[in-house]
Amino acid sequence: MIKMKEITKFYSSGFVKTFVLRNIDLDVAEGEFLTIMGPSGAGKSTLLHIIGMLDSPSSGEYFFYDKPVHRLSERQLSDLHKNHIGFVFQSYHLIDDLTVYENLETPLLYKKVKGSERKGKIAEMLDRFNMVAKKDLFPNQLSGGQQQKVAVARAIIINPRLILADEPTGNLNTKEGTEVMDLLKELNESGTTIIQVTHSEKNAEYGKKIINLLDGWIVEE
Amino acid sequence: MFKNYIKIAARNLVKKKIFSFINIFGLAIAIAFCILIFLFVRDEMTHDSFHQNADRLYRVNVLTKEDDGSMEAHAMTPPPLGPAFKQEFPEILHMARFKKRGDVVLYQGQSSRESIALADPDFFKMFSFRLIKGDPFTVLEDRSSVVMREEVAKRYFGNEDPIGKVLSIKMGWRFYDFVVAGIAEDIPQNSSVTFDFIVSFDRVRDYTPENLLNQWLGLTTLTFIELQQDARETELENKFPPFVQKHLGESIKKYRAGDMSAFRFELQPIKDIYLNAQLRSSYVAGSNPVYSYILAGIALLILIIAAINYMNLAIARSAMRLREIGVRKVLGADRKKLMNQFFGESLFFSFISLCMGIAVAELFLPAFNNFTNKKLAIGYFSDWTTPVSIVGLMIIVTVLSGSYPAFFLSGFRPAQVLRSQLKLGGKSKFSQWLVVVQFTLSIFLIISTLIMTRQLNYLRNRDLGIQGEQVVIIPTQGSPLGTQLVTRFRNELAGHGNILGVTGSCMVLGNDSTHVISVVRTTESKIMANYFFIDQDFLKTLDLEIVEGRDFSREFPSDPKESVIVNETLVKEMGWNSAVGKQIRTFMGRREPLTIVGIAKDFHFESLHTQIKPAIFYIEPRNPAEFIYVKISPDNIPGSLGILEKTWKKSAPNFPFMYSFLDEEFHKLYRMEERWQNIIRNTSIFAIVISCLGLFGLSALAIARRTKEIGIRKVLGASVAGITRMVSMEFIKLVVFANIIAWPLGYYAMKRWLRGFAFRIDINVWIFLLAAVLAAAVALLTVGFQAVKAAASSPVESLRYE
Repeated sequence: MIKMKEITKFYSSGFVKTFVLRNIDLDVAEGEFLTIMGPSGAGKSTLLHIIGMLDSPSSGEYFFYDKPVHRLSERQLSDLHKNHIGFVFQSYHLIDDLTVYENLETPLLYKKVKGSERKGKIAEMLDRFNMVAKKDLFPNQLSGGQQQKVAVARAIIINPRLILADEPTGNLNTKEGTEVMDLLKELNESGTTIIQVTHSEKNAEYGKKIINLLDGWIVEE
Repeated sequence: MFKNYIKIAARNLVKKKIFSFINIFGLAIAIAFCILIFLFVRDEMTHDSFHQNADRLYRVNVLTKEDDGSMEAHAMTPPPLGPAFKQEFPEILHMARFKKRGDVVLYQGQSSRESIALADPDFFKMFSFRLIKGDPFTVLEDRSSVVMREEVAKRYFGNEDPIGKVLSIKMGWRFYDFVVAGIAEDIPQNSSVTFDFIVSFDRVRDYTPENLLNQWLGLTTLTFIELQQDARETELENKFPPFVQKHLGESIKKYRAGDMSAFRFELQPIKDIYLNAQLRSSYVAGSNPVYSYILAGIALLILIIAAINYMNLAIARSAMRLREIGVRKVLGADRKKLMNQFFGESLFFSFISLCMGIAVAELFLPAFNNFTNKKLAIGYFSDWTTPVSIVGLMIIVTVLSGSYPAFFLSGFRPAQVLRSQLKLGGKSKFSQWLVVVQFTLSIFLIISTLIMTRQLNYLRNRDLGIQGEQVVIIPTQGSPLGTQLVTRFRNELAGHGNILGVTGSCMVLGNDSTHVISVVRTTESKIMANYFFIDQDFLKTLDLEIVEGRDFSREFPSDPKESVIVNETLVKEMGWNSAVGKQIRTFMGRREPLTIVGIAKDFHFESLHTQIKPAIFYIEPRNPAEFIYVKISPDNIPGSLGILEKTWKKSAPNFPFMYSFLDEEFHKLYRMEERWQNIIRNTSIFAIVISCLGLFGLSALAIARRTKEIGIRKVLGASVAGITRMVSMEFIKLVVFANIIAWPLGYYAMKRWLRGFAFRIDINVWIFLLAAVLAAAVALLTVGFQAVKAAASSPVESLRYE
């Protein structure tokens, strides 16, 4: 499903090039649960962003379902986002001005899902996460764990084939963290590909394969 | 989807009340301004277009060749022209001559001075002045009919039916009875042709001798024509030269040495009359298209300033919205969708600002009308231009204020913003330039205001060379007593301590519609001069100095008819060293020349726009005095006025007592300038207020951005003053820079404006410094207040939330 060849990413200021990723080769098959680990500054988040098409590599090739991502237009990229990829961030990144309900609605609106269908999907999601009572609250009225649950719900409401999670439990306590990881495991078992970035050994155990990054290189396990 | 955007915009608005208020208020004011200016300009540009036949209506103008070879245009035409035109040119469907005179109307014992118009019967067929009562086709055919304007009729008859009532109107020397035969609807605001009373043109015979009515050399009436459907203006004009030859050939041979190009007729479309009114004596207070352009320019300026504010604040606020943008992109929004969102928000704001702006415009409309001397109204559906313009305005504002955020912010990569690698918040070059532009405009306007105010004060206070404050001018209004009134006043008031002098004249100094300009000849040369017909006491009463020779005096019985006094400028223009004893001829065709007996010191009898012109003072006993000048002492002016009124009523009981003060006549000359000074001053206040609103918002954001930095500096030992200075500097230096651009602009613009005055002030450096200091002070207040607050807050607070 994902094929990356010699992916490199650097930032240049003046004459100095700071390399964040060097020569990354990566293959991910459908249905995998991959964990990317490494110390701070190793380039994990950058790699995740590139996989998720939120950023582009400085050089190298990236094929997503055999489509050459590095050559797609912005329009085509956002199409892929809408339909296939769900993102879960460490700091949730919910839209503060929208209620829980509206936050869940937003990706569906971008996908141009019809009104009644939208309502149905959102209701289902709220129910699944036990958040029906909170649907009209704003993010700043929820706890960290609840916000992350909403974020996960938002990520999966479009039935993506791939979920990218960047330190999903970083801001949660143990109980909340476990809840979220269990959710991800469940999704993986029903066929969704999951790639997560984490520091936590415990979280890594949920996955089947681990990749270690150090100073931009893959040091495989 | 759109609903979503509106929801967010609305919630944003409530959350950030201050910023929202700044944005909306600034835009609303700008919109209100634009609406008012739009009404003004539209009125100016559509004058006289409401007539149904407007495209076929023309005024006939006369062009005469002046002594220096140039052609001068006159709106007035000879009386026999109209009927001759109608008779000889089949292209003309209707013709109406039109003239106005002021005279007395008597009804039920009350007399008042009114403006009486005379017009040919075709008048109401040509012009769309609707008659509420009376038949437009016949109402002016009866010599004893009078048509009144609705409002005027109400004044005289209240709610009674005016038709059939009899008014006594003075035409010339006598009163005649007129029957009210028609009532006209009130005349639209933008009509050049106005009237209160109209009688048949034929009544001109009441006060004009027959030979004058038939002569082709006097330019005494307006002539309007309506062309046939298929007639063409240029084709008709081509027929004019043979017409001139036929009717004026003899006179031209006699007076112009046969030069046929000395006299020409021309057709002017009625829609062009108002804005091209530089013609002599046309009854129309014309206007200049320049005013409309300038005002439109100003409105655009203000709009730009307000839109800049919105842009600035939207950009600065975007620091907090970058995350949202990133998230939306992750969720599948492409750039177009984000741009739509931002335009949607700015549309939302624009709509609210529009509503508020309309409300503000309505609020200020009465004052604006007062100011521009018009009766404007926002007729929301009266014609298509209004709603279209309002919607257009909203769209312009939406685009102007939403475009930068829409284009700039939607272009970010999600990764950049999610990692907060971008720092926005008022420090971008674009925002800084916008502030500079705003303050440049504001400073420019302040400079203009200061200079205009100084010039106006100069005009008003400059020593005109005559005593004006307490000279009362009383028009004799054609009373048959004429000059005798002056004598009567002088005799009756001789004993009163507060009456310091009485004299008479045919002219009102300062009011050039009463002046006569004509030629003064000697055997060697001739020049144009202002003629003043006065009596022996005139120069004395007005304290005008004689620098050579003597004043008129009753001890010299030959003074009337044989002596003249001239002013210094006339002497200079003639090229003389001394003039006493020299002889000149006037335009009045006398056989014997007149002798100059004295030279008067130059004084201003016209506005300070022009240099002092040559003037000649003459006692012409055949011209009855039209104005009595009474000099009164400054003590107890109301008492003196009372005495004057009593004396008047004794001498001329059938005529209303009217008066004005001489210095007011001069002040009237500067009314236009006063208006403009007001406009510029108010505009500069607006501009500064809006600029400060913007600065307030920006500085608040900048300070918020630097909260952590301020906290750290305090911990390291910085003082409140030091921090305040550091924070304010960021903005004050922008204001200082704005001065550099504004000063040359202001200087150039004001220099051009001042060129319109023959007498003007010098532009001093301190004016620019004052403007700079004002702008800086205001900016400092705006920014400083917040800076001090931030600098004084405890570092613990600012460093608490990482």
